[in-house]
Amino acid sequence: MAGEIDVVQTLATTVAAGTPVLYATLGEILTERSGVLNLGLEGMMLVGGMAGFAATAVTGNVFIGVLVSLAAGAALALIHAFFACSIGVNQVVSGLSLTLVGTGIAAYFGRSLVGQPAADSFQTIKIPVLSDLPVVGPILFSQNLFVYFSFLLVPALYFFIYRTRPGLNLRAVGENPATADAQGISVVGTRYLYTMLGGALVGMGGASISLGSNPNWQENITAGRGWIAVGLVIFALWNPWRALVGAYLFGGLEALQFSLQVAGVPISSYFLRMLPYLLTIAALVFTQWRLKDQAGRASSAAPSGLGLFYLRRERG
Amino acid sequence: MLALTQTPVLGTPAVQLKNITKRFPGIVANDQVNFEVKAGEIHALLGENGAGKSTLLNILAGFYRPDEGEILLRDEKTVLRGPADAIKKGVGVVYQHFKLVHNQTVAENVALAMRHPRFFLNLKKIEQDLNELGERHNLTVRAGANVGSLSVGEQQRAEILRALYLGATILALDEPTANLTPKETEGLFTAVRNLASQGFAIIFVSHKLEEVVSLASRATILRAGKAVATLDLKGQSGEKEQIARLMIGREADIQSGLELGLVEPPAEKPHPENLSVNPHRAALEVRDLSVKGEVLNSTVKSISLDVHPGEMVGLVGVAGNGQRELAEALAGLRRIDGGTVLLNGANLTNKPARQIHKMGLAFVPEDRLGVGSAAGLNLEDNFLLRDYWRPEYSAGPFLRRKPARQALGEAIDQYSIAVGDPYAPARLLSGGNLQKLLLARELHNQPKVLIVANPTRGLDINASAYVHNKLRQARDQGAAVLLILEDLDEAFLLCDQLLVIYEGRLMGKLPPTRTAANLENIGLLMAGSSLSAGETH
Repeated sequence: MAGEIDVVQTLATTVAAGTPVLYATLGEILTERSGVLNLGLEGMMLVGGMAGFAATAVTGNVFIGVLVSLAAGAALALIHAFFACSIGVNQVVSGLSLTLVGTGIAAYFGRSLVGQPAADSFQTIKIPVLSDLPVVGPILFSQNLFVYFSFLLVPALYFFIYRTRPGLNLRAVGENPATADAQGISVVGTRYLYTMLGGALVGMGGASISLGSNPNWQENITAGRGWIAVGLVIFALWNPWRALVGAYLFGGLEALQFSLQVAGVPISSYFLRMLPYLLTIAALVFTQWRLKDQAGRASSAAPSGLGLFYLRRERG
Repeated sequence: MLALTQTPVLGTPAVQLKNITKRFPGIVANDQVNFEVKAGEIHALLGENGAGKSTLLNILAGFYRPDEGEILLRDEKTVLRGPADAIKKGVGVVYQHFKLVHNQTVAENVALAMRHPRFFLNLKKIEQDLNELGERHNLTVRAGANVGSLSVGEQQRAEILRALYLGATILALDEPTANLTPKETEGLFTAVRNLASQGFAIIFVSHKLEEVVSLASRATILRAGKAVATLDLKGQSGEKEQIARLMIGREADIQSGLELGLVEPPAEKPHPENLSVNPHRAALEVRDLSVKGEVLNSTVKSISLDVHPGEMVGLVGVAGNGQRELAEALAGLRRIDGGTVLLNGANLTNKPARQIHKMGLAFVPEDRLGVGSAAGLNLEDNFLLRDYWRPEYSAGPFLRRKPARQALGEAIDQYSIAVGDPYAPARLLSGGNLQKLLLARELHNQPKVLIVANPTRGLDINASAYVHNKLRQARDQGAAVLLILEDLDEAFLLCDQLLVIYEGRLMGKLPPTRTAANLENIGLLMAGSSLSAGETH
C-alpha cells in the first residue's frame, strides 16, 4: 500500500458524506408514513441542489439558497401529490416521471452554472470545547451547519412521529386511511402536507451537497444518492434513527473508498466508486432477509396504505 | 370529554332522519326514508343486503351528505359536514369492519379522533380514562395494548369505548354480533341494555331476527331503499314472521323461512342411501395438519379431520382462528408445514393447486372477487380459469372459444345466473351471481371434495337459499363437503356435523342441534375453553 488510512478523517468524511442521503431518507420517510410512495427523490434532490446553488449565486446568501432548495423540493413534490392523491395516478409511474423531469430541469437550468464554485456555502464550524475532544471532536463537531441541523432533525422527527398528535394522525393516514377518514382526519390534506414537507427535506438534501459537502455545481451531482435513499427508507423500517444508521453506512463506504483511492490502493477507481451503492443494497437485502425469517413471510414495517390511492367509498 | 355533555332525557327524540334520499349512479340507495330513535331506546334497523342500511348509517356518520331530507339531532336541525362533525355532535358509529389502526394501541386509536390537546399526546391519561370508562360500562379492554393483539370482541369494545369517550350519546352498531362468540354476544347485549337505560340512543343494525326481537324495543325495516315500516316490539309471537314479511316483501315461504331462522330445519336430514363410493372411507382425510398463520393465533396446529362422501361438515369459529389458512392449504394455495391430506386415499399434501383440483377437490373461497375470480376478466374467462388447459377447451397454445362459450351458456341457464353480458368483467356481477358462477365452475367436474368458505356472506335471502340448495345437492350426489362458517345459524341449517376451531386447533365435534346445552357448548369451544370429557363425542 502506498499510504496509510486516517481513521478519524475517514469517519469525519463518513458523517459529511452521509448527510445528504440522510436528508433525502428522512424526507421520504415522512412522505411514505402518510402512505405516498415518491420515487422522485433523485429528481427532487437535483432540482433542490441546483435551485439552491443558483439562488445563492444570485443573492450571495447561502441561507436564501437553502430556503429556495426547500421550496423547490416541495414544489416538485406538490406535482407528485396532485397526481398521487387527487387523481390517483399510479404512484410508481408518477414518481419515476418526477425523477426524469427533475433531472432534466436541473440539467437545463444548471447548464450555465456547471463548473462554478458556490458563491457562498456552509463552511466547517468548529464547535468550541466539543470540537477539541479527542476522536469525537473532529468527527462530529467539526462539520457544517447541514450536519449539525441533521443531528437535531433525527430525534425531532422521531419524537414527532411517535409522540405527538400530528405524528399519530400521520401514521394513521399511512396505515389505514379509511379509519383516519372515519375519525375526521383529512386523508388527502395530510398526504399533500407530508409529501411536500418530505419533498422540501429531499430538496435540502440536494443543497447539502451543492452548498455544503461539495460546493460547486456539476451535472448529476447527486450521482444516484436519491435512489440509495429510496432503499434506505426500507432499510430504516421507516424509523428516523435507523435512517441515520443507514445513511452513515453509505457515507462510511463512500469515505472508505475515497480514502482507499487517496492511499493509492491498486483497484480500479470505477470499481471502488461502485462499492458504496453495491454494499448498501446488500445491507438492504440482508435486513429484509432477516425480517422474512422472523415473520415467516416478507413482512416489513411498511405503512399498510403505502402507494394506495384513497377515495372515500361511494356506495354503501 | 369523559362525561356526557348533557344527560338526555329518556324518551325524547335523539335522532330524527326525515325524508332522507340518497342516490348513487343507477340506484336510489335511500328513498324518502324516515327514521327516529329516542334517548334510552334500542332501535333495530333491519333489511336485506342492499336495502340501504349502510347508506343510512353512513349518512348518520357524516360520510355521505343526503341529496334530500333533513337530520335532526336532539330536536335540532343539523347538517353533518363530515365524520369529524358527526363525532363532535355526539354520533358514534361502530362498523362491522372496525375502523381501527392495527399497529397502534387502543389509546392511540382513541386519540386519533380527539382534537385536544393539539400537539402533545398524553396517552397515559387516555389509557386511565378508558380503563375507568370500560369498567363503568362493562366494556373492559386493555387500553395500552396494540389493537392487532386483541380479540375481535375486545376490538369491538374498544370501538364502543372510543365512541363513548368522544362523547357519543347516539351509538350505532352495524352487525355487531357477526364475529362474536355466543358468550361475547351476551356480554355485548348486557352492556348495550345498560347504556340504553342510562339514556343512550342505540341503533342496532342486524339481519338476525332472533337477536332483534330479544334486544330491541322498536324496529324499522328497510326494503329496496324505502323504510317500509316501524314496529313496536313487545315480545309477542309472530313478530319475527311479521318482520320477515316486511323485509322480503312477501310471505316467507319455507325456503326463506329456513334462511331467516323462522322455521327449524328438519332434525333428520335425508341421507343418500346408495353411494357409489364406500361411505366408511372418508373422502377427505386430514392428519396432523400444520400451516403457518397469516395473523396472530391463526397458525393451524396439528388438525385432523375426516369428511365422508355425502356428508356436510361445518367448521365453525370466530374469523381469524386459522380457518382461512386451513382451507387454502387444502386447496394447494398455501404451504403445508406438517401432516398429510388424503383424497380418497391419494396424497395431495403440498401438491400444486391444479393437480389437487384435477384429483377432485373444488374450492370456493370467501373472497370471491379477490381469490375466487379475476375481477377484470369476463365471465367466460373466469369460468375457464380452472379448466382452460383441458383438451376440450384448448388446442395446443390456443383456446377453443366455442366449447367454452357453450359450457358457460349451459352454466348460466342451469344456475340461473342473471347476467346481461357474458363479456362484462366479473367485478360488475352482484355477489349472488358471482357466487353462482363460482359454484358452477367448481361443481362442473363433479368434485369428490368441496370446500366452501362462508358461502352466503353478503347475499340476499333468495341467493342464499339457492346457494344452500346447490350445496345440499352436491352433498346428496356424494360429494364430501367441508363448509367454513362463521354464522352459527347457517351451520345449524346445513351441516350434518360441526367442528369448532379456536386458535388453529380443533376444539371438538358437536351435533348441529339448536338446543340450549349444545349452543352453550359450542360457545365455550369457540371461546377456547374445553368441555369435560363426557360431553364431546
